Amino acid sequence: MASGLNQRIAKALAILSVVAMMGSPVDANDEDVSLPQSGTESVVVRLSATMLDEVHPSERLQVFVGSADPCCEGRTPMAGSYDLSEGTLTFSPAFGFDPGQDYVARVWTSQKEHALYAFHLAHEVATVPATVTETYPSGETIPENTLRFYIHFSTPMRPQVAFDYIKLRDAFGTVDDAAFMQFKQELWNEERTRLTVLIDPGRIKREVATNVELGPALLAGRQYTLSVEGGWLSADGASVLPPFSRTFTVSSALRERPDVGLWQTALPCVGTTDPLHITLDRPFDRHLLSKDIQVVAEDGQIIGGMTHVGAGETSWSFTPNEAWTQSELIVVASTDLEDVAGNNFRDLLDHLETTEDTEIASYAFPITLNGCSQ
Amino acid sequence: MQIPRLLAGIARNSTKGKSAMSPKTSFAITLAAALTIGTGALAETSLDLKFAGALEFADDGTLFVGDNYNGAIYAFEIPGEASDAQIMPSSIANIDAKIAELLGVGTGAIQINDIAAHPVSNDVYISVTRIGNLVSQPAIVTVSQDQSLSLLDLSAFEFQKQVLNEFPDGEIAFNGRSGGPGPAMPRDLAKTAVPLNTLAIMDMEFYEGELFVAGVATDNFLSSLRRMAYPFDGTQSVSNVEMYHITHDQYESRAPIRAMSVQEIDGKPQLVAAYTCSPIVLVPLDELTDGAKISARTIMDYGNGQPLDMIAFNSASPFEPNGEPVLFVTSNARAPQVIPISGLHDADVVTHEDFGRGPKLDMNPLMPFGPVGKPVMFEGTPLHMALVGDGHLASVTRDAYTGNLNLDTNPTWLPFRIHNLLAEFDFPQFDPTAAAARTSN
Repeated sequence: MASGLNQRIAKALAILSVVAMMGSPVDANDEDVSLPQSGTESVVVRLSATMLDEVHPSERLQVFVGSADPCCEGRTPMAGSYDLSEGTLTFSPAFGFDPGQDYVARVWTSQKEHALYAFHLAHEVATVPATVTETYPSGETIPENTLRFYIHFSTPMRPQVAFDYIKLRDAFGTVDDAAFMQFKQELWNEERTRLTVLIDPGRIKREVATNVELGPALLAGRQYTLSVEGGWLSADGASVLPPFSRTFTVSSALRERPDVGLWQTALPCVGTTDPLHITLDRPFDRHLLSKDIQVVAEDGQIIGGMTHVGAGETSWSFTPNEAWTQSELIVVASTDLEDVAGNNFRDLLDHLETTEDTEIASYAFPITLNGCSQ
Repeated sequence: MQIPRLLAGIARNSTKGKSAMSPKTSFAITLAAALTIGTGALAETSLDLKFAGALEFADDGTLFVGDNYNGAIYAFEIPGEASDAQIMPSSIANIDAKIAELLGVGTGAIQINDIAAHPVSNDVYISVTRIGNLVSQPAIVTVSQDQSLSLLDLSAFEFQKQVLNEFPDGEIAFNGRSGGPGPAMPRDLAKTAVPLNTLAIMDMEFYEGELFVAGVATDNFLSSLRRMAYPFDGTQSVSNVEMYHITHDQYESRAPIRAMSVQEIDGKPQLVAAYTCSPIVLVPLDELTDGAKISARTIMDYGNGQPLDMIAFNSASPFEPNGEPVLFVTSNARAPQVIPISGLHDADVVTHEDFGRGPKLDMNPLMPFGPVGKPVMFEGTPLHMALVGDGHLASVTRDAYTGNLNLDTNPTWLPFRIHNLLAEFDFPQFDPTAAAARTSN
């Protein structure tokens, strides 16, 4: 059996309510009725001897699967065994009680009156309370044409209701209902803990209808709040997300492709495992930044190691698995690497009709590591 | 008897939830009290049933239960109490919901596998799979004539267990195919999750001290017939069965017998066996020896579809008092077929040489072929059926409109309710006397 502490916790976790019918209210903590805390326990009722005279115990106590409201017309009581000893009646179901299932016990307190006890066993798997753990872009200032937000949760969340809770508010708290792109399919990662939220590209792209009618969702110079309202249930139904908000300022739009020529490097020494650090020319997409830059040797071999994305997604560093051996290396970004506005090395997200197509912008550059004295 | 597919992927746990039984007075909600009967040679002490599938009663109330997970047949001694009460028509709505409540789970969390009526008490026994959190457990629920449900306490009975030889493991599963034009859809491909052992115990017949079991085995041919004496003495025989399938136009040795009945035909006891799509064959019992490769005698095909149950009774009704022995064969894809047993005597046996080549759908001029009898009305789908007494049928019926699963008991000559039927007789203005007068001259 569980220790005293576990029993108290288990009791706190088990949802317990009492509905009294046709008679005096019955206290849930009444010693006369003891409800199970785990699947192998029983319902135990203390009844006076007169209650049990000439009557099968199953007529004094029945347990039903399902909700207590309403109960119990037309319901079939659960099969099980009744033990009777010295005024204590114990019901043990044939297959035990299952966590997650609602039950209701009906106890006849007199010939005509009965009380209902609803109970529910806590899941055995520990629940992670739902919280927002991170949002990206994480900088205090983000450009007017930011395309994507990522919202990270501590546990999978109930699907199909994200936009009932996720809102973009202006400085006055007014919600912009047309800010986010809402598809039939929500954009979750495989573990269902990261949600991708897109600003409606129609609001971003210049001269496209909604951009013209409604204007951009984010206007430079202003403050906005990305808020997740409280009440969103976790996917396992066991916890509720508390409210979350992040306020940021909007700067002017990013309308140039990324330029590696503007990237600044802090180079490690040959023979060390010190990180290579790059200060980027703008904030980049958090998810793509974690995988889309590689360090390559001159023979084309990719150097293995761990990447780290810096604060605000404006810097990136790489720590090799083994000490740096070669001094001539090339930093290569994928042409798909996007900044927070969706621009990549090939093109802007928002390619104006009037601009000419150009070649792919440079996406790689060489570095030379030096030996350093210890 | 139709056994729905087993639940692949669900962990299998044999033991029911057991609470400590107090040494003091104990009341169990069960149908029968514990009994002690002289035990047979293979009496077991601890019941390890993992799946309650096909059911078959011997005349003394011995209940045979097929366990597709353990690959065994269990025999429980259940004498039962004779009742004087006449069998009356009855209907229990939403039997699946009621069984689920009895077993303490939500409605979708049980699966009904088979039904059979106790020959002495006339109670209907229902074999069920209870699906709990990550575990499936077997259960047998009894429904008495007064329509009350109880969970059968199997541990209260003496039992014997016969492990089956050549039993397929749970690993090999079926292929999926489209059937018609176009590629296979996800629903068609669901068959790829169904293991072969789902069909390992399709139907059982108890005849003169022996149990016959049809199903898939891992011998030379997958389709097999087993034979074992009861009380179990450890010996069993497995025969392989091959037959010419008329509508498929091929010889088949894998797809098992779906439903069967032992009948005296042409002077000797024979198995009358129905296959999917739906040929019927004869197999004399004296050919069922261990290791035998049997060519079953194909005598008819009553149409495309999949047989569920085959039940023998007399076809007499208030409208046709001169009845005859018939086989009532239900299907998941057709109306039930009533096949007079007289037509099986001296029937022509056919092979591929008696037909042109190619599969045959129902509209083919040759179909239906042989002494097939007639299809008859049935409102809804009779998913499981059992004879109760001599003249009633219990049926787990899927209602044609609501889709509810109901347990109905009705006379054999009208084994369904007509609640969905609105006919002339139902009009308030209908006058039976006037109607009779009109046609009486």
